[in-house]
Amino acid sequence: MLISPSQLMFILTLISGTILSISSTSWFGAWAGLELNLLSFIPLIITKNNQYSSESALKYFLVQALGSAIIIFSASIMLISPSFAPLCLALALLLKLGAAPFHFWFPQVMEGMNWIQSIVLMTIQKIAPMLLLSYLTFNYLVTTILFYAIILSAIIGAVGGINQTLLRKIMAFSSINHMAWMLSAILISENMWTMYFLFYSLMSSSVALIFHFQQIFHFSQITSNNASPLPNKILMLLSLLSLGGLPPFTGFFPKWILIQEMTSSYFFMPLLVLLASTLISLYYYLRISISAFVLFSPKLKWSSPHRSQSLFTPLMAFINLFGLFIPSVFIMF
Amino acid sequence: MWYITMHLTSLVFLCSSAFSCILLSLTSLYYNSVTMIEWEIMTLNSSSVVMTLIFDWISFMFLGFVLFISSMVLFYSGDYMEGDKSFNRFMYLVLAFVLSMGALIVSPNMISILLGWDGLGLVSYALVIFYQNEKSANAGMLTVLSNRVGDVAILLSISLMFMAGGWNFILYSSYMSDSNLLLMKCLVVMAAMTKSAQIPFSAWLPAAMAAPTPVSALVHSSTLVTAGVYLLIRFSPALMGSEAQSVLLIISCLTMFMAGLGANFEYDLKKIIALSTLSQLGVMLSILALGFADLAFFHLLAHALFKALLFMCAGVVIHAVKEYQDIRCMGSLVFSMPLTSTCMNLANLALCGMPFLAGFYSKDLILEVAFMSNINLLAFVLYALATGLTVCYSFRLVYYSLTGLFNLSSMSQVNDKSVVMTSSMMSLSIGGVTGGAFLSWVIFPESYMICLTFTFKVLALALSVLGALIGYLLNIMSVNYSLRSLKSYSKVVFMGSMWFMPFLSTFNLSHVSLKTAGACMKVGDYGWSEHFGGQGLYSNVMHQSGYLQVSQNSSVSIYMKSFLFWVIVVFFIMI
Repeated sequence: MLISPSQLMFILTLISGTILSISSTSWFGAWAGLELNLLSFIPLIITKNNQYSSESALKYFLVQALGSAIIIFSASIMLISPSFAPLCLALALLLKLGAAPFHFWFPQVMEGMNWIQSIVLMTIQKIAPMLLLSYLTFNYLVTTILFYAIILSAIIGAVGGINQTLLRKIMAFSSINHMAWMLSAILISENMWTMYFLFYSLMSSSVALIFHFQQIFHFSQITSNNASPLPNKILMLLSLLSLGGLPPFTGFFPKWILIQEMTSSYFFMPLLVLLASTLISLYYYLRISISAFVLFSPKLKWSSPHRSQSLFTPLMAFINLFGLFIPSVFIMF
Repeated sequence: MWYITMHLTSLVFLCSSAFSCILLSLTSLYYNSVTMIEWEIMTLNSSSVVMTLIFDWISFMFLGFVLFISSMVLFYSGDYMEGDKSFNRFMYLVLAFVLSMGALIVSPNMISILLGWDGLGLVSYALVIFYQNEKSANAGMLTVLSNRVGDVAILLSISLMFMAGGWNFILYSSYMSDSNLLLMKCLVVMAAMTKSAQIPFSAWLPAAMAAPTPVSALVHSSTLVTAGVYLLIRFSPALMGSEAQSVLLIISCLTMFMAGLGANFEYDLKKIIALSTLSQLGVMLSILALGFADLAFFHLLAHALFKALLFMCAGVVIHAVKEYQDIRCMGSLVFSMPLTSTCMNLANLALCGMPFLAGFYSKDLILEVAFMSNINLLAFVLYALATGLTVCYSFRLVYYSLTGLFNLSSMSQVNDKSVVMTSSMMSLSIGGVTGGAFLSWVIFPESYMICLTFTFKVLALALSVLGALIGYLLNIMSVNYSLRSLKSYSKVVFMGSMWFMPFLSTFNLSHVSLKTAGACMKVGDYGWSEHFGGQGLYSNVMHQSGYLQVSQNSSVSIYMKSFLFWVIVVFFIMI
């Protein structure tokens, strides 16, 4: 994939916006960072001149702009109404994240992107709002709002993905579901969030990269033999299981730690919902891969061979599959 | 090129080890020595799980008999199973059977005995289903599941014996009182009852006749069915004066009577012999329940010799008459196969207790000791009846198969030319003639003091003569020719079908549980738990997902308005 100079610049400003917002000491600085981040992501979305990318860019812009407006508004009334402003900030940050009651834009925006942009949306764009949310957890009522957001995100992320046939939408709902886990990690501690976020970024981007290199966007493309030969299908299955958090794979590790921390912090009710919803999300991951394995896959003679992959994919897949296993080998000796 | 088949190698190997075992047994009897080897596997809360091996004259003697009989049986199968596709598999199975019996004999420990005990159950299943047809499959399932009840009883008694602090029942059985270990004793007795096919569990013994005849010879003489008796012989100090003992007496007497009665109504050659085994097992267990474990062991060994012989003869006869097992299709065999008939007659007479044959020494002693001891009327009557019935069915068998009319098919080749089969039969016949005397001299250096009135002394003899007369003469008089038994059909069916036990322990036992399980599956797996479980959850989630889908299908302004709505809600809550 070629990167044009302007894209390079926008990527740099996107990252610097994130860094600016999480390292600023005032809400104004945070807002400025978020704006910078938003405005540099918009041109990145519009790589193709078609209506899908512009539509999702517009939707993204509108929603994020509303969130930013509420943030600067509540930052300015912080001194006037110190009880209301943090709540309003939390709501706006949840909107920017795409967490559950305000998640509606998230699948729709992702629908118009390609996989690389989706990776950015699923990982980098979450850093700033989440870390800003973690600065607000001192407030008891914000914590309550976060609990509601956790429970709703878990349920909606799980149930929403079931009926989908578009892989980007499934990944979006899975992202919403994982967001519930990350929000509960925020409630435990910042380190916990960092750990979960890093693992989630690794898993989701490795799955998305596998899809990207074969240019798969729909269910039906998976079953076709040309789009994905069998080794790729197996890789995809295992990566998806890792994303679902099945024990031998890396994805189990952050869930394991988080479950332990949540039980020791007596967060039983959200944990129950999280676990149940993870089961449902595991079901739709399995549905993706099982249909790839058991359905008859035609092999067409005229289609071009699948695209070559980068060196990055096997590395990620390796970490994805053996991340839990390899440290334990070292522990033994 | 020498071609050595397995039956020759097993003959040499097993026979030599049999004689060395008997020699060792005599040595340990002479020096009165017991060697016990314990290998500690683990220790758990001060009770150690050990593998115990005992080598005293009992185990050596029993081992010697088992090895001798199995060497003969394996040699015999060299001809009997000749041409069978899986001859080697058969041989290996029988050897595994002997091996597990050996493991059972030498380990007097509740845990390590399981090695042999379960091994016997497993291999007996593999042997019963050796001929692959539906009848064998059913018989095998009945056999293995009946034996499994005993295995479970042993497992439960292991957990109860944890209280005693160890599982070595040779050492502990003298110190078990009824007050704290009665349940464990009952479980052990139940385990022995399943292996030795006592009354509630008798159905598998005749059914196991689906196995090849050499296997029946081995199973019914010295290995599988005697395992239960052997366990109780080792366990007998604990049974002294226990509640379990009196229950065992009644059950074993009933088994003895039931089997003797059933054999008189049976027409299948192998089943008649199987029922006679059952009857003799009843004799062994009843004398054991009366407190004479040494007599039970004596009868066990003597019976093993002539019963193996009887089965071998039956196998030769079955081969000769074109695989028919119905004794009505035999007759006048004495003219065509005199050697086999001699052996069969010998075994039959030994079974009846004909003086100075093997059975006489043990059976007569048992009867006289039983009549002399403190015995209740029911057990006494059952003893007396069973003695007569044994002679009765033996003579009936002799009448139908060996003498009488020639009932074979028009084209038959009846002879006893097979050297392999007859030579092994001859070797066992020597045991059948001399075994009883040898054993009684070796085991009982001081003879039992018998003190009976004249009536009781001749009772056994009189009953035997009476039974012989009834068994032989009634058949000569051809009372059966006019189908008289149809007049009392229900009684005949009751007595001839082992008191309905085969029906009760197969269909009627599984019927209720299968029906309940079927209902549970229909209501649960196919019904409610599907409705509220997998399918219900799936359709429910799909339904909910549809709602979410609908909520997604609206414009961005709606999303933004809903966000503002929540901001306003929070605002009003806070203000």
